[in-house]
Amino acid sequence: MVNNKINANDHQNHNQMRSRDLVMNPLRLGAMHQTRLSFVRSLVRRMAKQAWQLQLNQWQISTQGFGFAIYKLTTPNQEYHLVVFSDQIDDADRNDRVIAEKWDITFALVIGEVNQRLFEQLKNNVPLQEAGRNSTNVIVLARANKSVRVFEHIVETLSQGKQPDGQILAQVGYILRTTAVYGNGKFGIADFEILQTNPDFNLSFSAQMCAVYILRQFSLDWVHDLAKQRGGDTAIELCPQLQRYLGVGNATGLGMTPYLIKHPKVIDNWLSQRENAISLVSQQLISADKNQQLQQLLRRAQIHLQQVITIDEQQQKLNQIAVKELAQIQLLASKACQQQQRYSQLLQQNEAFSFEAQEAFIACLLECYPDYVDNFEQAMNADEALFMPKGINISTMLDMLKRQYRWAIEIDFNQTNNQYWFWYRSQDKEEPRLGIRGTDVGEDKELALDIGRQVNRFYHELIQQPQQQTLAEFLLQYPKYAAIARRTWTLGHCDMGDIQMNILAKEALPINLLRCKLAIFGATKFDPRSDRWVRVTLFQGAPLFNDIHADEWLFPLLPQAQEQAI
Amino acid sequence: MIWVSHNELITVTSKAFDGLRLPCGEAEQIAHMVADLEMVGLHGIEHFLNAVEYLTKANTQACQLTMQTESILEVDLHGDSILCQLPTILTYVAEKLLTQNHLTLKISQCHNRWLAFGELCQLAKQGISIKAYWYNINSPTYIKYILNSGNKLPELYISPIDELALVSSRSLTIEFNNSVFKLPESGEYLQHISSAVLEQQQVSSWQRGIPVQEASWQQLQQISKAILVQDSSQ
Repeated sequence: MVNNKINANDHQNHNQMRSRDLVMNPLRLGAMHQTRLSFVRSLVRRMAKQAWQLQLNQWQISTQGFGFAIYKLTTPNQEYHLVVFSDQIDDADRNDRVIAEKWDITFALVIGEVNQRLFEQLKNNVPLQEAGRNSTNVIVLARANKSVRVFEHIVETLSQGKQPDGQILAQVGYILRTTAVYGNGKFGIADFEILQTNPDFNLSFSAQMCAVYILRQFSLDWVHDLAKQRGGDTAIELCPQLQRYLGVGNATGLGMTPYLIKHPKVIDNWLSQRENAISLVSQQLISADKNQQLQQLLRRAQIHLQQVITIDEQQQKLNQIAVKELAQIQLLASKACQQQQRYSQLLQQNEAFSFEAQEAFIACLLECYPDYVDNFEQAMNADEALFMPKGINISTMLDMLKRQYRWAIEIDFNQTNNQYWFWYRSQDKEEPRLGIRGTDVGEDKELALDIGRQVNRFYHELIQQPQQQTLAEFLLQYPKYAAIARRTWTLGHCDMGDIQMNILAKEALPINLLRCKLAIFGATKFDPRSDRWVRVTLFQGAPLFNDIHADEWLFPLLPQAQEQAI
Repeated sequence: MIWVSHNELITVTSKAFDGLRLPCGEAEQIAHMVADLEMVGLHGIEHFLNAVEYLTKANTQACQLTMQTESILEVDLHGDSILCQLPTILTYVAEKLLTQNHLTLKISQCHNRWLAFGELCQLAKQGISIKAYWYNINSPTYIKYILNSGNKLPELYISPIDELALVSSRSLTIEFNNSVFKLPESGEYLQHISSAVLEQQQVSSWQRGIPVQEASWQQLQQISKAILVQDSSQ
């Protein structure tokens, strides 16, 4: 049992949200899993509820697998098209980092019709990605590389009339992995602002998730077509269970980290809505039927974690511990059910377990209560505005900082290890990177991601000022603190606030931030490839388009294991 | 002409400002000041590119506000751009307006006055009526806009002027009031750009993208590269 026990005061009473100190701990954020509030889940629910239709309009793919395909998506409100380009690249050019310039697959999700003129524009620009220019007809621009091993294995076995080896699929979990999925105005495409009135894609990141979901269908159509080309009448298609088991991979690195720091109200809102849902569910009594469903999901989570294949030894260890602890949690849940307890008591007891197990439990718990949880998806979009307080004095500001930012105030930034790293943007496609302070070049161009340090300096300047002076007067004298004053005051009054992490510290692990965002998206199968980047899958286990329905895909399992879990 | 998105403009301007490494001014906020103006077709990028030459470490220091009377505030920016200082000054003004109904802010020796636009629109949304005016030296004109409480965009009035002596001060006057300002009569100005026209341009910018001169975009992108570092492979 890993001891992450925290002070009981951190856990507020059963009709309140859990405290920010508990929730915004980066280690906990780095253990999050998909829940039914994740964006892939809310998208699939909307698709199922509104009976969205997908149709393959054009398939101009050569016998070698290169060319283009166009899918038409029809919703009750609008038509969209996913235009996919498949290009031949050398193995040496297949790079998941943002610095890559060639990809196996590039694609764009377009509003409305794709006429010849638009198609030519897309053909000339989408394969170039960052180097191209696109119009506001395009709402998502993205690229993907294939898992060469899985791709070849599937095509070869299907062409011979055999199903692929499930273990090989389990090692990877996808045919294609995206390396960037751009929305919100990148490279000339439509800003998210104009999607806010679009009833299909008005939820954050839903257009990006939709493009990835259709790409999954392309990846299946692609291997089926090539197997057919290779094997003729002998070829077969993947069995539906394996089709469903395969998702779309995603490789995410340091580049995602600045988003989490620079959009604090978005992150606060995602976590706050999730906590609202947890709070509501935790007030319920543990009924026998819900406990039965919960037990089944917890078993499923155990099998999923056992099946995750990762090269990262630490993650392997965390998964193993969580598998054992989830067994203990099952016993505790049954006991709590017999004693007619509420989930809040169980959540408190679970704090003795690892974050990985606690978070897996939360994902299972929320899964059992769609009526309480799903409504919060409508509140996941955030107003990003930060507000400067009016009419407060320094003493009031200090009180707020002491209450909400103690984690930053108490850091000793005179210790070298507490500001070991600096963040910068590289000349290589402006990729965010880490440098060692005092050693690497670029410190003079450090990015202002050092929220903890800024808060610390702000606090120490404020305590030297007359306490009754107004904050506005102080800022006229010290305008360099205006940004951190706005941020802290705004986030200090949000439910969850800032992520409580000194990103400059030697031991800071940006990968925790990546996992938090990816889990909110709905990623599964977390496979850290280093402490700087992680591979995950999206839509693994999700229903196929022709059988779309809302649930049953938390913690994806290999088909035979799925039968065991039921 | 190149068509860029709002998010692209914010991102590039923000990086460009960061690259100047100034001791004050908030990159994201300043990028919004530029984008707010550009979105309505009032050349935010051009004004920002002009501002860059005034945005130096020597200039961007704390400023001293003086209360000339109970309702007149004065500040001398000594030739600095308003970009870095205005948000902080407006915070102070907004606070003063909690306890009084009207206030006049006189900013002397300042540059890039058009860029006040976005911040003033934000204040008007919060329920403060605003009248801003100044003399423009480049094409001798008197520029005035009125944003009554709750308005999203201003009524903009431009008139030519003959007395160049008025122009030399490079000042900006902003009147704030808790009640509305009367709009001028048609004979008082040569050109009126209505809030409806500005809004139409803004809607088009969102839907079709923002048309920007390619040379200006290139220049902005070039400035934004100052923040980039040669790879140290971490």
